[in-house]
Amino acid sequence: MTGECADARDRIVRVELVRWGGLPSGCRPSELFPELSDDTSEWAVRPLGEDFERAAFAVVDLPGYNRPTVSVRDGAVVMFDGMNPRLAGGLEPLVSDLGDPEARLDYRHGTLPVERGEWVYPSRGATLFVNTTADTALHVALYGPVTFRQYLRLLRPHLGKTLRPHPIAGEASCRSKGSKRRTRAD
Amino acid sequence: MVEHERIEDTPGPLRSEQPAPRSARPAISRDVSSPAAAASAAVLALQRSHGNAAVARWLSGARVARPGLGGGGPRLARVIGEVEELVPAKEESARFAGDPTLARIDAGTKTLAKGDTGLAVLKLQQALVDLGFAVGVDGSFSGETETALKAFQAFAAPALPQTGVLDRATLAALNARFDTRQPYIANAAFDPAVPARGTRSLTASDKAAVKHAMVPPRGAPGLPSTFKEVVGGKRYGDELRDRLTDVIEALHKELFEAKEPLRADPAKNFHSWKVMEGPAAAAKDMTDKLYGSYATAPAMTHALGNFIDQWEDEVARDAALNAAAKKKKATDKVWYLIASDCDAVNAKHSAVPTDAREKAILDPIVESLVNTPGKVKRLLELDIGWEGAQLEGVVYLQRYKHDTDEENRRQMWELFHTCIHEYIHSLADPKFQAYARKLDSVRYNTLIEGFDDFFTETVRKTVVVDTALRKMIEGPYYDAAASVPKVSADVYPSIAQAEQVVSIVGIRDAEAAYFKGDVSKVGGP
Repeated sequence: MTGECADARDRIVRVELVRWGGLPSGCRPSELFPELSDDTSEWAVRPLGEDFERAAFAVVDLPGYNRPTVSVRDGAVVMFDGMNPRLAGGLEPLVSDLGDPEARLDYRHGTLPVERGEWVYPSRGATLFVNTTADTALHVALYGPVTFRQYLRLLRPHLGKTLRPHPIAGEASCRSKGSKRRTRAD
Repeated sequence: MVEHERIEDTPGPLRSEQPAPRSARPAISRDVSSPAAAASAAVLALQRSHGNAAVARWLSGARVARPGLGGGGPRLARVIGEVEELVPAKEESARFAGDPTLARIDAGTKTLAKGDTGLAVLKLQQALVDLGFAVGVDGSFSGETETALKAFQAFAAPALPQTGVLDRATLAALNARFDTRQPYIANAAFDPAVPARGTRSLTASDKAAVKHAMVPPRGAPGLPSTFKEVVGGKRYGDELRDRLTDVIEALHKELFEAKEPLRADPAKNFHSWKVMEGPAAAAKDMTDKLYGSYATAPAMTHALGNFIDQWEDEVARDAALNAAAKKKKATDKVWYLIASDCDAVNAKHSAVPTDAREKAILDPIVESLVNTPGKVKRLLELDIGWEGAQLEGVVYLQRYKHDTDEENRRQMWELFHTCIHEYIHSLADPKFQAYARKLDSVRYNTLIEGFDDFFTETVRKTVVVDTALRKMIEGPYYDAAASVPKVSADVYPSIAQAEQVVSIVGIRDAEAAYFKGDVSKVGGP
């Protein structure tokens, strides 16, 4: 494990992101998370950014996040992101350290719309997704230093959930369990 | 600093090339700081979950016709108040729907013959190409077209008189061929040595027709076009409030109250992930058999991280929300329910919930439904118990067992069909997804959900049920003595728009766009 990758791993594990300067380039999955294989050919795939460029991803086991996810392209980790980060020291010192974000974007956290809650610090390789009152980080994404445009095109994670149709309320009891609306006989 | 650039998962505003039925019909706002933000989000959620037709109908006061050659008419009564009835009950191709010339041919009042020109001729030519006949596709009914049509008429079963004229009987025979989806199955193999085989370049007029075809028809004659607050002595607000109250109560009972006790004993009440992954693996296998030469994707498994427990995920999300965020999420949920479950009331009053008058009535009602922590909690619990969701490559679902093996077998077959749809999402080329995202929300839905279901339906037609497949899908509930359950599968209404796009560009172009990212084949740059 290279020193830079080890340092990044240490910060990620401790959720200590004050003075975070970006994910080092070229870290292999196993350099950041020894439990991961560097062979990502069997991993699941997610699209990132407005270009929907695919990245292989794996969920790792870290207590500081829900669904901490490692995304890999061409054998190198391009992003680490996780829900509900338990930030060491809380949000305030991190925001103070990062300064003004380059952009505050609207985003959806699952089914929750959050206005201007995606705070992008592309030169620092970090994006904070805060809640509606901007006092809690609901998600964090860490990546290598990039331009804002590169972030938008290639890295911006898609966090909005699409609900599948449900049985019509009030008629559900007339249907068998598990049946769905808008049916078409097979 | 870039402020307020875009909303996540929000394609552009709704635009239509067709006349709006009401002058006040609103565009979907991207400005989430506007008062209409919650309603707009609900529209987008509805559009993405229920498809173009549901949104169009909502925006136009519930007056969108079902797919069909006639574009509406007598079928309209069935759609009001029932979102799911927007989808044809029969497995009929929508390929020739929505075209006024073809509708007249279907009605027996028109024919097309040598010398005719136009989009309907082009659709005929493309249909013949997709059926394997050699004919140019240019919208001009030439001698070559006539010869090919005569060959089809001879080929039809039963054979038709070889007139070379597109009449009612010949159109019905074409429809019957595409009802089987066999032309789509026959064209599903990709040859990397000849990647452009069977594709064609679209003209400017082709591209304009494609963009038009992506949008469902709006409105229907004979219904009032303006909002009526009082109908039959009942006020819109009162009826909407009553309906919402009933909806929330019924959904909460079914999705949350009935399920929460089951979580105390997961070993007894939950399917294992291994059982759930059987139908997903079968869905991948069946899809790869048909479209594997174009693209494949990893399996869906919990271990890989793309098969998630919806309940656990929502509980984790809500745990991090403060009261304000919870209220915002609950408010959004109410607007979602107004869009998805209140069609009858909206149709009765010709209401467009995001219009100023209606919204002024609805805002205080929505607020009254989220004005205590208890009410907010109940609304959030609907999402916790929601049956399923997806997020770009990840499928969220509930894992409850049913009471009987028969019900569990049915559940596994339903999951199999759902997983075909979700797996095909993962086969969409990034360039296709990026192009779709740049379009307005209705066309986005046609390209993403409609095209997915178009290919999903084709895969479903190839499913041959044998013992091996049954064991894979039914897992521990397999019983050789039991019959395979007849299950229903969701279809997004925008499948009709997708097939109408295919009627213009052809199946090979549609595949080149979706699986290989050549978006020029569906009207892109």
